[in-house]
Formats: sequence, structure tokens, C-alpha cells
Amino acid sequence: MKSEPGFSLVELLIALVIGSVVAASATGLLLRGFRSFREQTDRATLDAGVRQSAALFQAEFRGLDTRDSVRPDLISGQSTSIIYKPMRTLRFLCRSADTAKSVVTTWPRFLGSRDVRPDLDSVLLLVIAVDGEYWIGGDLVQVSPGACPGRAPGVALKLNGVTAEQLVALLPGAAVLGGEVSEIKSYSDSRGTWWLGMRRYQKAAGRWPAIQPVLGPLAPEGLVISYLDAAGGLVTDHTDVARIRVRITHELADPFARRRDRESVVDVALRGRGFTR
Amino acid sequence: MTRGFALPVTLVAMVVIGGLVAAVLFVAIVGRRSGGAALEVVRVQFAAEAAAHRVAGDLSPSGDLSPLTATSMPVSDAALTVGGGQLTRFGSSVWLVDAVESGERFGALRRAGLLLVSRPVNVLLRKGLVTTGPVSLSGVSGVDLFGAEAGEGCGVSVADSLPGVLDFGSVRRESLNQWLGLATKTFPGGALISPQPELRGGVCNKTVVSNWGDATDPMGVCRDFFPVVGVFGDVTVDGGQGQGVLVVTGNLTARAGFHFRGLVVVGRSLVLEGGARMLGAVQVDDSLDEGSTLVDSQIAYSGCVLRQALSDFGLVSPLEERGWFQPY
Repeated sequence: MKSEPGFSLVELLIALVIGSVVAASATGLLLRGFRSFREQTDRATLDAGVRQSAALFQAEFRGLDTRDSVRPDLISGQSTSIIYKPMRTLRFLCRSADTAKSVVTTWPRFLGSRDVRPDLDSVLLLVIAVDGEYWIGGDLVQVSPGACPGRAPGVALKLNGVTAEQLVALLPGAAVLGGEVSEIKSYSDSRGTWWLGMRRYQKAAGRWPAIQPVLGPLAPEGLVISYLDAAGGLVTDHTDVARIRVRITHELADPFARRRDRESVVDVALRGRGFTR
Repeated sequence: MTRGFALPVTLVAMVVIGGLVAAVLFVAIVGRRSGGAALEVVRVQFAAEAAAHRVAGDLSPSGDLSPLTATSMPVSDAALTVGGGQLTRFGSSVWLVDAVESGERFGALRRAGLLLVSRPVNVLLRKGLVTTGPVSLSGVSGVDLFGAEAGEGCGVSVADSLPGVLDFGSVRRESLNQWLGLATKTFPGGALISPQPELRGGVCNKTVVSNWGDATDPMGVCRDFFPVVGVFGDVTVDGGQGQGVLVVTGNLTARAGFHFRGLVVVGRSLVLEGGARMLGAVQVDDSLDEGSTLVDSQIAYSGCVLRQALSDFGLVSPLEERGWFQPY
């Protein structure tokens, strides 16, 4: 019988077993690697949500001044929504007010703040009185080019809701803050997914637009806002609010993720409450 | 010799696993960088607020009459850098600290604005004329009779002023000397002056000795200029206008419609005639009991005008309500 080179059955079986073990190990490693990669990505996604919410709430709430009961920055505070008035523009009067036309003229904007928007903004004007300083409020109805002393360009703001007596009290150099009414709330879209949304009140149109998502997805009821005084106690009177605490739970869209959500707490101390009278 | 398949399978598995490990490492590194950036933003934000506070603290003078002239400027001038922040003055009493802080890593940048107001020295006596001697009024004259007009360009009526003359008892001589020490425009005794605002190149020319600011035109470019004028002896002001602080060690005679806004401190007697008008407060230390004489002239108290005129001399402190502004 002629001998031919080749593998015996035993050799093939051994090779098959070894090969299977190697393939199984490789597959296991591969799957574990995939799982680890996905967990890392999920964790990074949740971390990013936590950081973004911290940055958002700090930026939006820290400048609110709650002591003014007549023109409150905190308009409505609920556990899942908050309506507030952040100051978006800062300007300074460059001349005395035109009381007949209810117009104040300001220098161009400062500190990189945005343009004033008649469709969104109302304004606060600083009065320097003999015994102290106070703000008066007005509704911004029109913005047009104006002239400051020395032929410098300015911006003329036509106001409603201020009297001639109030306008007379404004000195050149008075600060003008412009703010828009905004809302932050959690809501569920048509697919049942929860989001953190924001919108700005369209003052000229007199309505709220559709809310737009800014963070999410969130867990159902994943937003809880608490209003605290300086000592950390819950308060109901908005003029006592010194801190706003937001508990937010981010959730992953992937239903098969090993860990689907992450809760974080953002505690924002209102900057204006640092002063004591 | 036929090659087996174990080696290729192993190599492929190693490549795939290596790729996954690299991807996991990459995600972890990105996450760490993102976390570091978030921390840096928070750190920079508080650093910007601290810088603004530091500037405000650096501005606080040691006493009531410490001048703030080192940081006094209208908005048309360049902003001043003080302790890491830009300081700009608007009008007479409002200041803005603009503090920008950037992180060393991740490009973090935050900007904080802090509004300051200057609170002037306590000379608000709520009387137009404070004197130790008698007062004589003739013609269309009066003290604190301007009514609402006293608020011209200032906006505050004199409703909180008790009309009339206040016998101060003794005007503090040290106050007069303190103001003299702060004078930026000085005149010898016996001077005859007709001050008027003066422009050069469209801006207020503050170096001219006869420019005492603009007391009549609220839109005037010298409206924010409130100098301290000192006269060592007697002086006659023959018309014109001015604002700020006028300190006269001797007799002050003002006539021909001279119009002044601010604080007037006179060492001896005061004579106003010919439609002279003084808005703010007048203190007369009538040491020889010669009396103050007003002929067809007016004096009216205005705390608002005083606050403007004295805003360079006092405490600058953050606005208590809505003093912060943070655009980003």
C-alpha cells in the first residue's frame, strides 16, 4: 500500500478542537470588547448630559434676582417647570431720556451681550436717587438707530409702561438691562420620550412657541426643581429663594443598556443674594 | 506542508480586540477631557467673579473725601485696567467692571460684569443754603423755591427738601480746606471769571482752567465733567456756567446769570445778583457775619445734583440689586 502524506483522523480532530477553543476564546474576547466599548460610550453619554445640565442651569439661574417682588426674575416655580426672566442685554444711557416720546438712547451693547429684541425683551432702568438706587421697568416696543453725544452712534429704545416722571429721573450713564421671559420644563414627545425643553415668550405675539428640546432623553419625571432659601429650607415665596436645586435624571435611548440612567443634582446659588441690606 | 487556520484566526482576533481596546481607551480619554473641560469652565467662572470683586475692592478709598480721580473717566475714554478687570465709567455715578478669565486648558472662557455705583460724601444737608450769618433776599430771589425745576437734567424734585435756610452753626473749616486740597483748577484772590464749557476736537477740553463743565445743556459733551475749583481769596464770577465743587476762601460774588450745579463752599460772604442760579447746595461760613445777599437770584437744593457733582469723592461699591451681568 502506497503511503501518502496527509493528516490522520486523530490529527484533524485535535486540530479541530484546538481551533474551536481558539475561535471560542476569540469570540468571547470580541463580545466582551464590544460590551465594554458600548458601556464606555453609554457612560460618556450620561456624563455629558450631567455636565451639560450643570452648565445650563448655572448659566440660566445664577444671575436671577429674586428680591424684587414687583418685577421678579423668578416668575413661576414648579417642580417640573420654571418660568424666569434672565437678563440677556446690558446697555448704558448716553443722554437724558426723551420724555415726550418715551425714548431712551443708549451706547451700543457691552460685554458681548446680544442685541435688544422688541419681540422678546422688556427692560429695567437704573435710577440713581439721592438716598439710593432702584430699578424701574418698561416694555420695549421699538429699537432704532440713535445719536449719543459727540456724534457717536447709539441705539434708541422706545418704551411703554414708564411715565415721564420716571424717565426724567434717569441720568446719563444709567444702566439698562434687557430680559426675556423663558421657560424650562420637562415634557414628553409623541413617542413618549422625555426631554428637557426651553422656550422664550414671544412678547409681541403674546404667546409661547412650541418647546424645543435642549437636553435628554430624560427618565420619566426625571426633572425635579426645588426652591430653597439661604439656609437650605424649602420656600414657597419666590422672593425668599436664594438657591435653586435641580435633580435631573438622564436616560439612554438604548433599552438594552446595562445601566440606563444617571441622576445628578445641580445646586445653583443665586448670585444677587450674596448682598445683605 | 499545509498551513493550519489557527494562526490566521488568532491574528484576526488580536487585531479586532486591539481595535476595541483602542476604541475604549479613546472614549475614556475623551470623557476625561470633557470632564476636565467642565471643571475648568466652573473654575474660570468663579475666577471671573472673584476678579470683578477684586476690582471693586481696589476702588474703595480709605475715607469719605478720598478722590476717585484715578479711575474717573467718561465712556468715550479708553477703559482702565484695574486688578485684572476693565473698569469703565458711565455718566457720573455708574461703573462697570468687566472681568474676563480664561483657563489654561480646554479654551475655557468666562466673562463677568459687575455694576458699581459711587456714593458721595455725606454733605446732603437737604437745604439749599447753609450759613452761619444772616440772609438778605430782594427782587425775585429765593432759596429752595425752584420747585420741580430743580430737577433739571437730574430728574429729582426737591420734594424731600425742607425749603429755606439752615443755620448750620458752624460750617466746618476743615471741610473747606479739604476741598481746596482736591482742587484741580485754582485761581488767586481777586479773580474775575466767566467760566464756559470748551470743546476740542468734539470732546470736552478739561485742561482749560475756565472750563467748569456744562450746567445748562443736558446733551453737552462736558455734562459729565465735574471739576473741583478752588479760589484762594475773593472772586467775582461774571456770568457763564459751571458744575462740580466751587470752593472760595473769601467772598463769592456771582452775577449776570451765572449758573452753577453742585456744591459751593464759601469761606466768608456770598452775593448773588442778576439772575444767578445755584442748584445743589451752598455752604457759607460767614466768619465776619457779613451775611448772604441774593438779588434776583436763586438757590435750590438738589440731592441728585450733589450726588452727581460729588460722585468722584466717595465710596464705590457694587450695586446691591441686579448688580451682576454674565453674558457667557
